[in-house]
Amino acid sequence: MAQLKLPMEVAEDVQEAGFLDPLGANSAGAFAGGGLISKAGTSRAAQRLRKGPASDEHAQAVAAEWDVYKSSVMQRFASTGTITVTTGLDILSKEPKGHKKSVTAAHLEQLEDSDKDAREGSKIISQQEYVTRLRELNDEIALAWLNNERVAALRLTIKVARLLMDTSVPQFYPTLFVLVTDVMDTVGNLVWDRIKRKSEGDESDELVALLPANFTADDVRPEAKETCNNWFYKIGCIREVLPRIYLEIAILRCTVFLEKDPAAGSIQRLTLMMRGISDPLASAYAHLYLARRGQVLLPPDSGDSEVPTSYGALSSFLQITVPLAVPRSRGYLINGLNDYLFLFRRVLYGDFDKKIAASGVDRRLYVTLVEPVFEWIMKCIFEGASQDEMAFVVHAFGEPQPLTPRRRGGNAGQPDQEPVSVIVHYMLKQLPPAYIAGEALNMLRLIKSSKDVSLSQHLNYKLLGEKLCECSSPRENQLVILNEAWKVVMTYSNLPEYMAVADVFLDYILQYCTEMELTVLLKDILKHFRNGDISNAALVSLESIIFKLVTHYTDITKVLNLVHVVDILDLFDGEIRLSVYKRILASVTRSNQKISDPVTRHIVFEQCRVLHDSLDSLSSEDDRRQITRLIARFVQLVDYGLDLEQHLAFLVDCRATFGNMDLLRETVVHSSNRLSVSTLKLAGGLSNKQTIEFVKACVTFNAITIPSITSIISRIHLFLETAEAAFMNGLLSHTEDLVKTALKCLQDSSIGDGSKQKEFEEAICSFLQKLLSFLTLAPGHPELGAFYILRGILTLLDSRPKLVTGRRRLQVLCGVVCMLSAVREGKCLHYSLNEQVDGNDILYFEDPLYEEELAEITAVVVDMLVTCLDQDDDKAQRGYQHLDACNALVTAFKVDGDLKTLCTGLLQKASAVLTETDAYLQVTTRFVQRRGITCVGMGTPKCCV
Amino acid sequence: MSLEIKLNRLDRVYRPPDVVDGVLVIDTPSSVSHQGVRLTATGTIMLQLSARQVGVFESLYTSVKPIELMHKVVDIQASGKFPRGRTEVPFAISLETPKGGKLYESFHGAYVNIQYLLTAELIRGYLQKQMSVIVEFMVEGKKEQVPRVPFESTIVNFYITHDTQKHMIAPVLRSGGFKITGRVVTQCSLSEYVTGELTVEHSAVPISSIDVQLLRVESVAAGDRMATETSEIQSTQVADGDICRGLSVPIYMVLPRLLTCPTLSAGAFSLEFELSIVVTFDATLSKHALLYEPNATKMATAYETLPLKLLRI
Repeated sequence: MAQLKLPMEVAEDVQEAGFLDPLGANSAGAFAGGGLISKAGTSRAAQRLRKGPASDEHAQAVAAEWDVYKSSVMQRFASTGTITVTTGLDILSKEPKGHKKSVTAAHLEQLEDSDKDAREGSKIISQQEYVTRLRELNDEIALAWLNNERVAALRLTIKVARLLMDTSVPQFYPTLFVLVTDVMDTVGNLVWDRIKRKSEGDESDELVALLPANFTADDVRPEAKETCNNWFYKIGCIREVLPRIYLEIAILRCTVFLEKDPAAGSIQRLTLMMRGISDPLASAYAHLYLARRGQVLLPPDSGDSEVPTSYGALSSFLQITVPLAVPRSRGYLINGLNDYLFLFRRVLYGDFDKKIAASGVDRRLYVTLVEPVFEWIMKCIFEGASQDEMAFVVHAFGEPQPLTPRRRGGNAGQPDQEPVSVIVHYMLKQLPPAYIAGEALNMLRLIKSSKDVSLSQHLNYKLLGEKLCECSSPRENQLVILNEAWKVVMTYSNLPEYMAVADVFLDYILQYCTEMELTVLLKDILKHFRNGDISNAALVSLESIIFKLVTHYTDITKVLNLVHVVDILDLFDGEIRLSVYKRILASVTRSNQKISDPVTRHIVFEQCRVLHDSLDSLSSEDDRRQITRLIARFVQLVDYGLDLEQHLAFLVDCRATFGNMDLLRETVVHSSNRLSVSTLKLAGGLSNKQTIEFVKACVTFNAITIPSITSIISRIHLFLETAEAAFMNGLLSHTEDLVKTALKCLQDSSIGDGSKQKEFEEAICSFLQKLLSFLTLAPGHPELGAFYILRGILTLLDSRPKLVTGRRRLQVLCGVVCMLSAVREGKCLHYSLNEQVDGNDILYFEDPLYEEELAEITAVVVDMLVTCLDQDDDKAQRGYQHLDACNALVTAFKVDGDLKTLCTGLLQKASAVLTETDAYLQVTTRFVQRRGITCVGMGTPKCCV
Repeated sequence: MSLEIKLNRLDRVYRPPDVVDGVLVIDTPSSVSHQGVRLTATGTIMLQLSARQVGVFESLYTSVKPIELMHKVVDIQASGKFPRGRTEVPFAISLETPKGGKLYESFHGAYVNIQYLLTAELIRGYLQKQMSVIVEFMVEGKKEQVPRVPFESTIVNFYITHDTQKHMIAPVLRSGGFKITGRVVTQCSLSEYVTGELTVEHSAVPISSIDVQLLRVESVAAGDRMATETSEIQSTQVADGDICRGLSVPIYMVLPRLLTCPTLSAGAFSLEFELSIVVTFDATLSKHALLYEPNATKMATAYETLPLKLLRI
């Protein structure tokens, strides 16, 4: 709903008249949300304002604060629906109505057949229409004002104020209040501006003298005083009490023109007059309006509490005697609120039930409608309040016995006064945590005794808990507080309410108490859950409790070892269970500590299982990935210490349980390989029979697991990894088998499609290179020859020319060349963990057949290398390939004539397609030169590094 | 051509022996010759008899003569000619209390009217149109030196119960009973407010409204008796709806200007004021009562009327 704004042309008039009205311009701007402050006047106006008494900066701050609150209130109670408007109050219909009915006529109307009358004399309009009409009225008022028809403007304003008397649609009332008070504020500002202008200029608006910033009534011209008086007279003549109060509050600020220090007295009187409004909703909001305007008139730091009573000697009203410590800017609020509570209690006791029911809401909702008022007024009361004041207010509203009005008959049905829980709530909300922490026991007593329908008691306990968590109470009280609170809370039969409090107090316990209290609390929670109906709301609170525990103790073992936690975990069901488990797993993975506790391991494993089982074809990809990651990380973290066999058994379990997850199988294989290696380490680098058996088990486990992985790339890598592990432990035949299987995989693999082709090739290339480097270590097959595996690779390359192509193929072949040269060298380039395994160099030491075979295979490879060179279409690529080949050859072989010719040829070919400045070309040329090959027909590289 | 009287005091309120001063503004499109400008200040009390009190015929035939309080004529300009355009003629007339008489305060009532007028006349030739303009000004009494009455003695306590009602009240009200107590300051300065408080001690029937009415009591001598008529000037709601029992509500009423003046009693007439506290109950009356009872609407209300003395302090 849009804010109501009056066109602020009035301020512009002033500018034309030759001077600026800083206050006017400013207040206009403040009203319109700060957007309309006239630019020309800001500097001067600001200067003057800073010195202002009820400084407008303060007013602006209050206005801004109110704007925020206002929109939150409107949002909170935004509703659509219809409103029945009685014609008696209907300024919303366009045809002008005559002046108000006489008292007797109105009474007569009431006495006649009310039903029929109501039907005829009312019409139903939608709330949107209502709002629109109000906005139009606002414009009409502005127009009338500009046309100097101020009386007409006033009459319209009164009609608008009268709208607030209609509380027949309670849900709409907060919105209505905001809309109407916007109009009131505007009119108040207009009147203020006008009187101010009058007191500064003469009849024809000629400036006589500006009012000083701190002006008093003595500075004001009599004409202005006269006008001001007239306004108060006109408003005083309004018959109905509610519009009269609203309008008087709206122009209350103008009293400064008339008297020296009048506002406080008037505010006090208005507070008393509000006792005459019997509608709880209307009365509440009237108090809110006064509090809001009063904030501007009496800044919180304004002086003493001595109120000049404008009420003559008749000041015998039953009121709280506010101690001197409370400044008058708050005294009236306390009294007003106290007055209102008499009315509010009647709502709680059901006096208004008939009326409330007639308007179609229930009592609880009705109370909710009043809540913004309590909140705002409490905020005003505690704003800048001292310790003593707080104590006074808490006492005043907490123990209302001394304030009970003398009562003869009448409301004798009201039982003893207990603090109203909604008041206690907003008191708690607005009091600073430090104060509450100091007075916690007192607060507890208040909360305990307030249990009316206005607000559920558990919300108060919850709020108290939150406040206490913010600020610690004295150490000696901490346990007492907990006990006191729990005495009441544990009797709650409503599970969600109980849990809401428990949730907050868990924080409290974690912060201030020991594990013993925690155990007691958890036990109590469990008891409640067993007895009560488990609802979703309760489970959400319980979930929050688990989260808090998990976050508080970084070590999950600690949490799970707490008594009752496991039982509590059993309470969860469905989606919430998954969410809780995920949170626990997340905490496990985040803490990054090894999990060696068997209980924890078991519980978490079970949770993983549940999570795993929850995934189905409908689960989202994100969900799947997240859960897989969590479980995989958990599997990695599990630690059985020295009991490796158990660990392997666990891995077997994992594989069985989490059958749906590739990543997990990979993890399991990695873990199993780690086991093999740690076995060797434990055995001190020498495998014996026992370890061999175990490693065999590991390797076999892997050999079974790996084929079920979908991705070929991970599969071959894992095979190789397992092969390495097996090799280290001296399981040569296993190693061979594994490598063979990997190659077979490749042989059977279909080539990755389309866009993935490149990555696929790259992955295979890197795998082959890795495999080749492993082959430098691995001994040959006793029967099938020393280069059995290498031959296999070459066959693979031959039979599947599309598997690896272009430069990658070349790279693989270069790798083969390098590997062969390494083998030829005969030195072990790698460090082997296990000294029991011999390499080819030892196995075939000075074996001529071996040498021959080596030479033969080298020749084959070099041939392959050369043939694959000229296959690429791209010239530059081809050039690089030549260089690659050249480098590899020169590195691998001794330089002799053939090689020289070959290399020179390669270099020439390369330099033919590449530019001379190409860095790779230059570097290669230099390298080749160092090895003693001079290139004919090629200039020496120009720049040397 | 236009005439206009501009008084120097914006609120046009004068207290004898103040001087009423201002300017007469003559705005004319062509020059005008005249035989002088005359200013007359008059004060009269117009009295009328209430038809209800003395009967229709008598009220028509028996006209009560207006009483003249002052009549003062001043020539402010000798004969001459006003040039084209705007001319301002200043004037001043002093208000003196006539010997043996008194300048009563301005008052506009239904049967008694005390009015002060200032008339400016442009005297012109025999055949030419006379021009005049009339302005009303207010006279307020001087602040009286009232003998100091102890404040407390002017406070009157009142009780409104089902037993104090002089008219017939609805049976529901009588059986349930009610009690409203309060007090009012009955001597009030015109520049201030009527103050007081009231408390609903007990009421079985919900209250729908409590109003404080300001009544004026005008009496005019008709022959050997006084014709007195009471009428409502202003009604101010103090409580709307069924307010809390035992919680005192302030009575606070502004006094409308022009419609009020100090309580006075002269031979031929008197002006008094009363305060009436009207409690309206939310009682549903039977149809029968509504149809056949002339004062049915009154049956759901309870009254208490108190005299109010207004003073110019």
